[in-house]
Amino acid sequence: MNAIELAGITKDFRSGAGAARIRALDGISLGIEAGEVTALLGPNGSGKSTLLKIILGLLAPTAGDCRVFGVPSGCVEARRAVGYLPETPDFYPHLTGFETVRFYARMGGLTRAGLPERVWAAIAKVGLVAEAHRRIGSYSQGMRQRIGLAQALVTDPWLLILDEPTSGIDPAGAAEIGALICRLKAEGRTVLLSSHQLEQVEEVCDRAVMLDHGRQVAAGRIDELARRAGGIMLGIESLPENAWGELRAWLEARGGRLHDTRMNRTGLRRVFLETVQRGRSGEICPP
Amino acid sequence: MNRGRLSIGRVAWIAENTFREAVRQRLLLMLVITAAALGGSALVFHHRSFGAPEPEFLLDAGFGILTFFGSILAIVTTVQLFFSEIERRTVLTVLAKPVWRSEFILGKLGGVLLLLLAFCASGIVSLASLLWWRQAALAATDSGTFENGCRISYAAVIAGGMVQWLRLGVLAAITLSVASYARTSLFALVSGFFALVICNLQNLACQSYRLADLPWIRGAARLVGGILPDFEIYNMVDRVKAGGPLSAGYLGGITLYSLVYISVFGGLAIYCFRHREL
Amino acid sequence: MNSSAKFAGVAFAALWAAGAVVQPLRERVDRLNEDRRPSSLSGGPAQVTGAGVSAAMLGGLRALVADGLWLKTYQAWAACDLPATERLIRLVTTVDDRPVCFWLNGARIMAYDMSEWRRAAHARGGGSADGERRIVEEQAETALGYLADAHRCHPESAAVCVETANIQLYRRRDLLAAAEWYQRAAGLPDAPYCAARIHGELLRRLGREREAYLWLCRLHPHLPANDPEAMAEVVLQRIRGLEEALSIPEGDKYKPISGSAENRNRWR
Repeated sequence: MNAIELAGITKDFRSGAGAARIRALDGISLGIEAGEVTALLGPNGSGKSTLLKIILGLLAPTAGDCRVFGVPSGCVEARRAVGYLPETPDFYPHLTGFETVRFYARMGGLTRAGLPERVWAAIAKVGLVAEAHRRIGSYSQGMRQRIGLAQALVTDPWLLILDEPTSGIDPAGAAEIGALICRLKAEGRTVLLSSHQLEQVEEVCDRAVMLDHGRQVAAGRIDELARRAGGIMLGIESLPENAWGELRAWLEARGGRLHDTRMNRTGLRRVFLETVQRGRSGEICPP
Repeated sequence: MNRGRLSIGRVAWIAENTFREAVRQRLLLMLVITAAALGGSALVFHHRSFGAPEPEFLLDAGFGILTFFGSILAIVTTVQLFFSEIERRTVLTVLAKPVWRSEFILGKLGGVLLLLLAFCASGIVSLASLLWWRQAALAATDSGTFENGCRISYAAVIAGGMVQWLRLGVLAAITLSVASYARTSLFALVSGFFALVICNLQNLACQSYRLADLPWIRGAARLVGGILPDFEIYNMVDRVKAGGPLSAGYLGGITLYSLVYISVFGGLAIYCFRHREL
Repeated sequence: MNSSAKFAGVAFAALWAAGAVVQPLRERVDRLNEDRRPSSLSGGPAQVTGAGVSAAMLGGLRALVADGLWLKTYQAWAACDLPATERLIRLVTTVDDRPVCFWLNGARIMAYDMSEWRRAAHARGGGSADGERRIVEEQAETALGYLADAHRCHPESAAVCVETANIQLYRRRDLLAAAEWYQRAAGLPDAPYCAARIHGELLRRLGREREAYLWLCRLHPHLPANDPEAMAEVVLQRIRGLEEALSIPEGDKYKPISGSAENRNRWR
């Protein structure tokens, strides 16, 4: 069953009266499978955020039909099972983290019974319990991102729409969010996220949809897309430098070609994460 | 969970949140300025020893300051509270929940009305306190004029405060309807102040131009008079100064009049906001 | 139709409908609150474009602005600054013409204080008695002109008529004009008792004793005996004096009936 059904979605904008129309989305048709994590990829201005807003019913499409769990996206009912995190979110600066999540919980239709417990559970999921009674105005961007995730999760939605969920977050935080998304997937929830961090997308997503200039240019399972690109990336560790020449010759003899040799960024990321982890656990004292 | 119907609870939560945000932002500052201006005017009257007309002067000053600061508060706060939601993108997170756009607008309007009520109530309490102090002092020296130590009716002062709140409520609803359509806060602010001037002037302008020779001028006068509320009918300070209570007919009529316009402008704000692309 | 035109159309239609619905309500509220309207409006567009527009521009603040200007008037008055005082007096009633006290106090300052200031300056310059009389006359004319504006704004105000009569009587010594204005005041609601009494007295001083007698006889039954301000006793004495002067036969003489506050206005 598809959690989201898009059929011929087109969206035009006008910048002012009499101004030329700008086509932000052009005939997007796709289905997002329930229980999967799908990434929406594309360069800036490709129409990712516009598509997410249409799915949420915040924008009306110029043409086409959008349904969420079978309900037209413009209906309030369609948003009952949806949690949304906007790109670089900001919240009411006069509220504390706890009050913010409680406010959104009320907006999501949760009643007073058991409300504080639900709110604390959502805050705990994003690891902000210690800071929950501080005002949002004093939060860093990363903390706002986490509280944004908490407000999206508080109503226990079956569909999560995350617009750049790791933007402004340090690698450790991004890894935690990645782990959280994996947990949500394990619980059978559907996640649709837009991101520029392809590495993370590869780690957590099942499928990807690529947009460019408002058009859908590719869609499918992540491994299928990688295969379609015509190559497999090998990660090689502990190979002596003088063996590189031999490896290149061996590949060329079999019709292959050594395309690129770069330092392993995943490895760098892993070193960074391990260092941070050790620092937190007290193994490394900051200077 | 409720089922797709307009929820008073959600409207109340948005209103409460809007009120709390407004209190944190501007209200305290405005109240301090108003109280200082009122206190300052009372001290001027006290030192100048105007005698019997002093309570009337205090009333003029009190209601004048209330109207002046209240109008600024109604326009600026409404625009700021609305556009801060857009700029901060909190409107997206709120409307991504099962919240009707009409609930959002009603909550915003409710929050601003609550703020204006708090403003008028504190202004009227300050004014009544000053009147009580000065009337008591004057009664000690002029018992003939100040029979029973009081010449101005406090009930009329409180009713006058309510009338001013209604006027500010209509102004806030007008401003919100413009803001829900406007693309920039500057446009909404300027339009709000224009509306204030036009609503104050329209009664006079209509009376004047209805007597004009040119039919299109008469038509324009009828048009403006027909579509905009008349703020002249909220000026009741003379009745309060005369010491008599504001009649129930007047209070009932002006409440109904204001509620009609608040509803119509609120409805227009909802209509525009429902079609607004966020 | 583009969306802006559609919004404008909807807004216009909704507001027009609302205006039509609340029009009777607005007229009713307007009637109940008619005191608030600048009375200069009743004079039509010519007056409206003058004082009325400036008043309305200030919206709900005009009472406050007028009070502030009145304070400045007091300052100019205390400094005996004639041009500034007169300018400010007129400015105050231009901004807010509703409080009668502004008109009355302004007229008194023009008629009495300003003429005294000018007379003092004239005397210091060695001026003649004729010059002094002319100054009093000129200031009285200025004050009467100002009160004529007040009368246009407050046609039902007995206080304005009494003040006009006072200036005619005490500054211009024009008994006939004063008598007419006191009579006009006596015919208005809430006129002081003295207006009718003084009118009768002025008729007597003008030599119209029979007229004065009939007037006072008509007045006396409506004067409450227990109100010292009504001076019923004094009026009765004057009636008796006129009966003697007119040689009224005993049988035709006035037979007093005690008056009361309730029938105060019934004689008009």
